[in-house]
Parts: sequence; C-alpha cells; structure tokens
Amino acid sequence: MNRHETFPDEPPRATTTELVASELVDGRTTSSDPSVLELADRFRSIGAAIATPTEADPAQTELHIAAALSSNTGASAEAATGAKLARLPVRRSSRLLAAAAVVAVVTVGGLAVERLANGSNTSPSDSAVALGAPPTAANRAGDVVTAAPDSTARGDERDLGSFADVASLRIRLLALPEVTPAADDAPRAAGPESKAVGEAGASDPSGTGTGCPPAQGELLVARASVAGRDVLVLRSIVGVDRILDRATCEPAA
Amino acid sequence: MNSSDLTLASARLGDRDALDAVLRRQYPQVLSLCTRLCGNPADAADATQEAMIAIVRGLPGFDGRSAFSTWVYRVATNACLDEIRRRGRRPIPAERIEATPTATADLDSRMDIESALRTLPIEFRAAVVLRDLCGLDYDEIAGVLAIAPGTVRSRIARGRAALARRMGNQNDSADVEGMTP
Repeated sequence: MNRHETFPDEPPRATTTELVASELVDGRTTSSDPSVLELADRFRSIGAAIATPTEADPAQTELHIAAALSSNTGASAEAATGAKLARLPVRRSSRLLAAAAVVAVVTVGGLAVERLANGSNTSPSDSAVALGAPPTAANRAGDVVTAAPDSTARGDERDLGSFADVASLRIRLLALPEVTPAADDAPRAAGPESKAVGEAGASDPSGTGTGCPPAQGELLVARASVAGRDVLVLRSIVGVDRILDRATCEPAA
Repeated sequence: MNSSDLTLASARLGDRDALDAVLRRQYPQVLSLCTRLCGNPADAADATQEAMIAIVRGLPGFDGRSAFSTWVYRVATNACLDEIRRRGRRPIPAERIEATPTATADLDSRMDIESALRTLPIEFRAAVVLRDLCGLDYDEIAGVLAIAPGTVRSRIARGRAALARRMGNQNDSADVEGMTP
C-alpha cells in the first residue's frame, strides 16, 4: 500500500514561530530570554505528558502476544482468532454471540452456548477439534458447529461477517447441568429473544421475550425448566451465566 | 552483538521463546503509540493486536536497514492508520492552526493531553506522537510516514503549536513572534 495515500493533504508550511516552538522542544535553542524559556518548558511538559506510557492490561497483553505468536504457526490460527475475539469490544462481541445464540437456539433448543472456542479459554484438545459442519436439527450436546457469517450485516457488523468468514467461528454446544428444556420451549426459529441486548430488530425491548431485562452484554441462550420453574439462562460475553426465574425476573436459587 | 540483537536474530529464525521475548519488549511502546494515535482504548487494542501480528509475520522480512524499534513503530503506525481508516472514524477536525484569542493559561488543562491529541488531525497527531512519545528523529519519522523530512518538521511544529493552544497556552505565538531560531 502506498503510504502517501494516508496523508493526501499536505499542510501549509510552518510559520517561523511554529518552527521556533518546535525546535525549543528539541533542545536546539540557545536563547536566554525568559519568555522563550517559559515557552520551552510548556512545550516540554506537553511532550513529557504525551510520552507517559500507557498502562497495559496484563490479560490483554497476554491475549495479544498469544495471538501474535499463534499467527506465526499457522496450525494455531484459531487460537489467534479466539484471542482476538476474546477482547473484542463488548458491542461487537455481543453481535457475534447473538449470531452464535441464534444457531444454538434453532439447533438444540434448551441447550446453551458454552463458549466461543478460542485459544484463551479452550483446552488444547478443543483447539484440535476440526471445524464443525453447519448446525442441523440433528446436533446434540457437545457437537461443534460452525456459525455462518451474516451476509446481511451492515457497518461494523460487516467486519464481523468477514471476520467470521475467515475464522470460521466455532461454537460448542453443551447441556447446562441441571437444566432441561422447558415443555413449551421446543426448538424454534430465531426470534427477538435471540438477539443481543439492545440490538436493532429486537421486538422485545428487554431482549428476552419475557420482559426480564438482561444486563449490558448479556444474551439469552436458553429458556428452560429447573425444578419445575421456568427460567431464563443469560450469558455474558465473558461466559458468566445468570439464571433468572421467568415469573419474577429474580435470580433462580 | 548484544543480547537484544541475539534475541531478535533468534526470533527471526523462528525461535518461539525469542519471539515471545521480542514481542513483550515491544508491547508497551506499541500500545502507547496506538493509544495516542487511535484515540480510544478499543481501537487501540485492535490496532495493537494487528501490529503485533504484523510484527511476527513481517519479522523475517526485516532487513535491518533501520533500527528495529523504528521498524516496529512503522508497523504499528500503519496498523493504527489502517484501523482508523477501516472504522471510518476520522478524528474530530481541529481548529485551524492559527493564533487564537488570549486566555488564561491553566496548568490543570495541560493534563488533558489525550483530549487535546484527539483534536489533532491524524497527520499532525502521528508526527507529534512519533517524535514526542516514540523519540524518533525527523528522518526516521519521514521514513515511517513516507513523507519528506521537511513535511515532518512542519507537521510536528504545527501539531505542537496546536496542542499548546488547545491547552491554554494561547500566548505562545505572540511571545515568540519575530524571533529567529
């Protein structure tokens, strides 16, 4: 790529004043004029502030380095994909998870998306699993399926589509312990309850189809019955589950 | 050849541990650069990761004609510019880089460097950050941004002047008017 294209508009030439100011910062002035020295201090303070290191988040650092290292091996490309996925901003991760949740709900009803298979939270054996085929009604708990990219995505979502296309986003479906599909919760077409919180197109503002509001970044992954009570299984992008009583919207004990 | 050079050489030959060490050594600088250039943590994180991957993939082709750190900055800068372009998130247009009315200099306002940086057009921001954050000289910056050294000087000077004004140093231009270097 021609980097000249990055800056197509050349700025006007700097004025003498500006060049003087610049050189003050670079320590080239020999002036003893107090006003000049004061100006130099001001510019140096700006430079020092700019140069203050950004504090790196240790977890993010590990993900980035793991992704980079994995990109060098080819065989572990999915680990890089997963690492990138793992630190996607909440909004975009939610959309990815929404797509995954649609697949999960359509395919196996009352089962939950366990997690997005990735290098940061997947065992080596998981990484070795071949990419799964597109989900079908025959999928069962433990199956590995591939979520197809959303060809109708727009804007930032298009990035997700291409990303998923390249990465062959995988989701793993596992039965939640002690949770069974509710009697009235047969596998169904993707409905508004499958959408990310606040996602456009969700007819139910709560995003759950029940009026129980999920927290930011949460998705409904299953409606089920636990000990005779109807519950909602909500999963955050970091994989933490909340199980709400559908009748009260309170956490189920 | 010092230990850093040896590590780099090993990394280029595919030594995973050496590569890991190289990445960890460069990471803080890359993240800082991306944070200042991208203007928000999410974009900076994306750009940083892309930069780290690009470093790994490009390392075998690093020819040593520039310092390794300069090459890393070039890769990171390009990753940031690509990120900004891809997201269509152009920086907020800066006020015209001209003298503005005098205002009381406020020391506290100097602390808001990040906000002031975000108001700079990316071409000025990149030049200033590469100079003041990364410590590259004018020729190195010219190489990173693929522009003439004279343009680098102009952008740095005008960028700094704009920063100073944004931070309340509106008297600067008047103070030095008519001076010669």
